Amino acid sequence: MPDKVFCDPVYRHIIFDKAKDAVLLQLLGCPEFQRLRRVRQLGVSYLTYHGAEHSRFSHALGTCHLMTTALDVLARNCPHALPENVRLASRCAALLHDLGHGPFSHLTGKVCGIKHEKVTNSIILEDTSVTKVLSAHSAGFPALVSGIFLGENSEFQYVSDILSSQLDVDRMDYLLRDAYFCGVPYGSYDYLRILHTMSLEPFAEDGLVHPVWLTKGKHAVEQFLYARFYMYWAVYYHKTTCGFEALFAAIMKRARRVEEESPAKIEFLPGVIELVTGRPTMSQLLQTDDHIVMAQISQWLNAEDTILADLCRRFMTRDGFKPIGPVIMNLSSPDAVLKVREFLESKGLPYEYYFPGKTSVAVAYDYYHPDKEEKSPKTEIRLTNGSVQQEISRELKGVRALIDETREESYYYIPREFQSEMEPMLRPLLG
Amino acid sequence: MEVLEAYRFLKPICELTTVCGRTKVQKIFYLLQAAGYPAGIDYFLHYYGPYSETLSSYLAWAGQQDLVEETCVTLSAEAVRCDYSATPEATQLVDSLQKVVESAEVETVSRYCEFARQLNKESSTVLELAATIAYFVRDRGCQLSEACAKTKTFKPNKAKPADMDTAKAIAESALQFN
Repeated sequence: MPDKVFCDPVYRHIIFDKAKDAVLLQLLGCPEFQRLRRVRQLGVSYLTYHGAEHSRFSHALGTCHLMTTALDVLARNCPHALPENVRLASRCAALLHDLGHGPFSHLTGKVCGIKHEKVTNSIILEDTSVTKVLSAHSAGFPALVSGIFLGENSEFQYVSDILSSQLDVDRMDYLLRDAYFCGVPYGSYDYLRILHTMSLEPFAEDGLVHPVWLTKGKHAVEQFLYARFYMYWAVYYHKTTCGFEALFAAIMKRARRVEEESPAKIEFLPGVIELVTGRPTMSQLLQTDDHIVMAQISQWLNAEDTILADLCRRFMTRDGFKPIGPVIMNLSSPDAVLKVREFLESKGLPYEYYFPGKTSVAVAYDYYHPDKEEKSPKTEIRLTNGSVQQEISRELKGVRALIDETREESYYYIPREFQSEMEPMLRPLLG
Repeated sequence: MEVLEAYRFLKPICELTTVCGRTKVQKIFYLLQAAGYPAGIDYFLHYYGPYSETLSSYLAWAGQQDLVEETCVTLSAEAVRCDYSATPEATQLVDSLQKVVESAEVETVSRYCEFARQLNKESSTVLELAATIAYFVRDRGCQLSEACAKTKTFKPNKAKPADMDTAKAIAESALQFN
């Protein structure tokens, strides 16, 4: 039987064996998986980087591809033989790991309280097309996939680590893919070197087998950590993107207020009211995607509520808020903030929608300092020479520098048309 | 940090004289959030229970700004415990922030501070267990009994029966706080 080949901009080809990978191919055809084509990987980043239109679908395929490569390498290099059904379950977990994302991915996670891992697990275990495909393979297969996805299968903990830890195939794919689509060079690193220098060893702390990296792979790992650091500040927490996220949050907040106070004044497309008013159920969430939300925002351009209509107009026409900052919290902050609020109120613009603040925290590599109270197999990247394990920052000064780098940055956002009046009011907050 | 975030982070720290250990800070904030405290901090399941990189960064920021004092105590050759207490500057900043925070928000935060004080009386291990139970219920959708069973599997060395009973009660009170 011929292979199924997906052309991919990052890896060139992602190949599935039509016979051996039949389960994976059936999962690809499930409506829950196809929905990922309509969920942008980077939320509203496309308003900053116009190329960032790629979807969770391509990221899921890429993650599965890297998981397959990692397992192939380990099968050749390590004595820990992985049973065939666990190998398949690991690849399924990689393919399915983002099914539970809401529209615009992490954005609705933050704004609407969606816990995407919980939803993903429900899609794997409850009555969905995905569960049917997994159950048809074998009765306990959905539970096996779920256990690997959640990191609750201690016998094969290392497979869960390969999917989710400080250095995992999820992060590896999204850095490469996001950098490619954003058109920035920062996210690239030698992913094949990382995968081919991965090994497995037990950790003394928990007695479980975890991934480690051979010393010869240390610079590729360092490169990965720097790629992550640069991508956080250049792409994920870009101040303009954060401004559009704040605008989106303001739209949702206003819609919720209108729904609470005068429900006759607002209309909702299917699934959106649950996004706006609280945490939607799995089936409600699966009804929504970026297209539905964009259609909803278009509809609200004509909303009776003028604030909602104005916020939606700003979003649709890319008339975003102006970022002011980075700001520093100090004793004069409250007075400056009060002045701005009074000014906005005088213009008829409620500050809770027109003066958002946003703090970004970027952590490229977070581990508990070994000299402090907690040490953790989950958050450490360890190098090995075959007999001694070493946490990577102890070996590489460059990684130590990264850990000490600034992690937190805050901006206030103001309506662009009042920049000349409002910026001076916020000057005491600027560093 | 913007004003509301700073207020929601610093006010509980100011209310607790000293928090012994980073684990306790992490778990107290997680349990507050499980109780409905609007801190908006993201957590993932770590080796020691729910953990937030964001909260860790907030603590580092507060240390740099002299708002929180970190005192590290050497427990053994391998272990160091860091205790945290708010400085007078933090109290002054919180008082000043109160001017721009809605009175309903101030009331809500005070209500949770009382809960934080109760939590701070518990040991680090009990809070670790309680936060893990609450995590399995809140973030993984488990029933309470299932969450307790998973916590025992997740932390076989720490889940002693007496501590688990206390932890279960704390997790339950957090999840039913509102």
